[in-house]
Amino acid sequence: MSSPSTLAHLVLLCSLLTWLPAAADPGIDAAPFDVPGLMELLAQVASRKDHFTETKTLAMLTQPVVLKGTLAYVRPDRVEKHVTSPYAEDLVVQGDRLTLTSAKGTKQIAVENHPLIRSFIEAIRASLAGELAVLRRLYHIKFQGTRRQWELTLRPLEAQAAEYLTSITLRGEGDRLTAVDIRETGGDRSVMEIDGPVS
Amino acid sequence: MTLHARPALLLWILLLFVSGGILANMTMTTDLTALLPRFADHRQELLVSQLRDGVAARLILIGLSGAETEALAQASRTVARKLRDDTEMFASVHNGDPADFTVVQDVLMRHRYLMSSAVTPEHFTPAALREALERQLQLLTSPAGALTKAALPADPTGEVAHILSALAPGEGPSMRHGVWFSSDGTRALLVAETSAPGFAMDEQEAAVKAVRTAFASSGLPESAGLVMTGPGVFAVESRATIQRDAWRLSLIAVAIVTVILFSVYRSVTPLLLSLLPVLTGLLAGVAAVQTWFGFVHGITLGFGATLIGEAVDYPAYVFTQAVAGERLQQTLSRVWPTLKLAVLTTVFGALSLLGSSITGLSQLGVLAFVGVLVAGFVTRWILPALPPGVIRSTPHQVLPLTWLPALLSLHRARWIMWVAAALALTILTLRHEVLWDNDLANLSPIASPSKALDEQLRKDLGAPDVRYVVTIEGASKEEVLQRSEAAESLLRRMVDDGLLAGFELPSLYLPSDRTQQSRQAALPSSDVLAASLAQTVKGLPFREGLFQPFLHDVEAARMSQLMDIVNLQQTPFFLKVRSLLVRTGDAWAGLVPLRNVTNASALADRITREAGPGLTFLDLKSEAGRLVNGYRHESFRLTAIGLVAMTVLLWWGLRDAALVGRVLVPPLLAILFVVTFLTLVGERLSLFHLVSLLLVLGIGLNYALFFNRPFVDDEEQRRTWLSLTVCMLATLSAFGALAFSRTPVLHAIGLTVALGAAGSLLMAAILGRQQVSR
Repeated sequence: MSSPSTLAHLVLLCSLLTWLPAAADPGIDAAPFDVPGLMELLAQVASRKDHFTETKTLAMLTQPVVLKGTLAYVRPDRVEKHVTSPYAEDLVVQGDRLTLTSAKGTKQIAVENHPLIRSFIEAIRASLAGELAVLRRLYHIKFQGTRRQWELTLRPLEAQAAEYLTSITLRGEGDRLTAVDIRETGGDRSVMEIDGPVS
Repeated sequence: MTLHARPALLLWILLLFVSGGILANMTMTTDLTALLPRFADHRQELLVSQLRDGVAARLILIGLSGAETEALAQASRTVARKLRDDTEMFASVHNGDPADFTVVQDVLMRHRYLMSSAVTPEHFTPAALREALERQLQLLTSPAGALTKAALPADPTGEVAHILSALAPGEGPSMRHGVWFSSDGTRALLVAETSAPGFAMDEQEAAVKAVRTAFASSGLPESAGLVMTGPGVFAVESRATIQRDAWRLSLIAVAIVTVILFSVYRSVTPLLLSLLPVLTGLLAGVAAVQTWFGFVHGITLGFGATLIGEAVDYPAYVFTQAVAGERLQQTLSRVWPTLKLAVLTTVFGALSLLGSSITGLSQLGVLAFVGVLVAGFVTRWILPALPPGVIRSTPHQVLPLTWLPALLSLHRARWIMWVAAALALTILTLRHEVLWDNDLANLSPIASPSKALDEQLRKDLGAPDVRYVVTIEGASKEEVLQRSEAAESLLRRMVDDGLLAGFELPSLYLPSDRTQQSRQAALPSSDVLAASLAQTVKGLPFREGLFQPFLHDVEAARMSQLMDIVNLQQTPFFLKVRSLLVRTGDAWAGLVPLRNVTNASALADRITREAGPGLTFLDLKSEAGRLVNGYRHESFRLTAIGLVAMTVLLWWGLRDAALVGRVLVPPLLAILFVVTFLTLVGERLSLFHLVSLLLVLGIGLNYALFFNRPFVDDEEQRRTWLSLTVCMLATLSAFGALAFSRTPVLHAIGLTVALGAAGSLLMAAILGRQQVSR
């Protein structure tokens, strides 16, 4: 994991990079922004680690459950979701291996074998990695917004995943991910707000 | 035609009719149990029942490759669906498709409170329920929640997940696009289980064909390939190869032998007559086996035909000795004393096999005994009674015969043979550990690339290797299941200690009645459970009345009947239980296949020391080895007895100890040299070699008998040389052709007999002495 100062450098560098073409073209916000453009933008971030607050609204429950923790990504294929409250649970995806560690113990599964879990993971991983080809293979993609504020909606193509999952919507500002909104077929919904980078 | 030929002819025709009549109703079997010793121990019985009926013996592992992953996955589904439609041929077909997992889940859901080992009275206390619900809440909010929430209202304590984790602790094969794939993603994998047992060749062949047909219509491009392995597939393949090979090589052998015999006889009649003794002998021999045992084993037929192969030589000894213009009867009167001994030595040799406790060997004994005796009878009394009866011309001596006298001159150098024999004995003593092939699998003629492919597919599919099992014996099904339950904790400890990777137990699929009853007793009544639940849910965000299905199902399970094997029908567990839990006579046995055993001896040790009554660790490979070993020792012992009988017979016939030695030693030396040669070129001796060596002994004795036969004049000596050369060349070419077969069985028999025949004559010439009769 990069130290805060390196991260700061990176952020600075990235903002410089995004700012540079803007200097050449003053009409940046008006310029058309599309999925390949977004992918290119996101692919430039080598690693990130943010606090999140996830609110799950489920039909079976009388009130939403709120999870807090951190979400981290390291190029190209490492995603970590650490839940710290209301319980502790670590979910680490490295390549095809998913490792789930909780108070009960550790469990490993191959992501490739579980289409639904893969649909959850790849929506975040492949997006942050900027791997458009992977996204196109797994999801129907809808995009709207501008470079400053965008929204990427993914609907799973695979039948087994589509049975449970309606859509995953990623929202962001520039190269920053601000929210992940998951809607399941039964009406259950989970909204993960990215609060800001871990300092 | 002489007068006494008439009754002989009538007898022969009668024999043909009776034998033919018996054979018309012949019962052929390829069942391995028929080959067991009559006093087989229960382990051997279990071994054979596994080879025969075990699920492992019914599996066809299928791989599809050579196309895009997605196309292969689609084809996998198509093939699976087509095979499943054929419910008569296939008991089950699996390709990892989650669709067939729903059936399993339904059955587990229905019987979860009787099957789950977590069910105890403490399991439903408010404290335990609280813990379970908190765990479910956490699961619900994780990504997996989308999958698990459907079952939550009915199964908040997670029994189905608990049962599944006990049944399949591993991950199973890799998946791509929802079906099983090899770990590198190039090959879609399926497993089909035939309804017919592995040894039912015709059914297995039909199953293999059905898989091919399904593959052909699966819509894959030309480039795609299909591979299949499994015991049944191998058996079908090797049968086809053997048939093809045997047919082709027999044609070649027949052609060569015909050319040799025709160039000698210059006439078709003796050629055709030559076949009569051996064919009649085979017919009568098989009929005798059928009458005596009530059935004929396929292996007996194959080996028996080899064993009485020497009868082909009998007419040759007569025809080549004939002088122009004389009646066959006259020729016979000269040759018969020697030929009689040749026939009787083999008959006596076979006699000892009759006493074997192994059905397979005693069948072989009966076949050889009757077959050779009848062949001798036909040669002596039928051939001269048939037209033409008179030999028109002397056999043509196209063959250079000077090689035999040349060998005779080597007589003085025969000490070399003794040195060579001593050397050979030393080599065999040094290498006695690697002399024999004890692997029963090698008796089935599978080419090794197929074996490697099979291993690869098995690894990809995580199928158990079928070498190590623990057996559980008991007086009743219930007792076996109770013992199976008792064994679980020991096996788990051994998995934790790294002695093996995993195991299966019959009780994992079907708990004993006692356990089911105690689980039922542990379930709380609906009032109590409802009260506990109400107390538990307080403070948790679950919706009111969410767990109503749970209350309902627990009450239903409390009142339900105990589950039995039939409740598992339509799931893959049904066949599994039936293969893990077998009836053996009036007792029952449970089988515990072990996965990836890393330390077999430590495992065996701990099972002997720590396991309860009725449990035995079994290494099927070494058990099979013991079975083969038993066969070998028995046939050795019997051959030794047979050899003594032959010696007595020879002394009775020859009345000359030195002569008996000169007759007996050459074939024995030849056998010694052949065995040494085979060992040196890296062949391991199997039962096939052993039976071939018995034939070599029979043929070799005949050579030595004729070689040492006193002669009246040079002309007779030359005729004897001709006889021997013709017989040896015929055997050499017929069996030499077989030696070129790619099939291990045919190759072994061919090579051994061809070398043995040539060697026997060589030894007979070098060690023999020809004398003018007084």
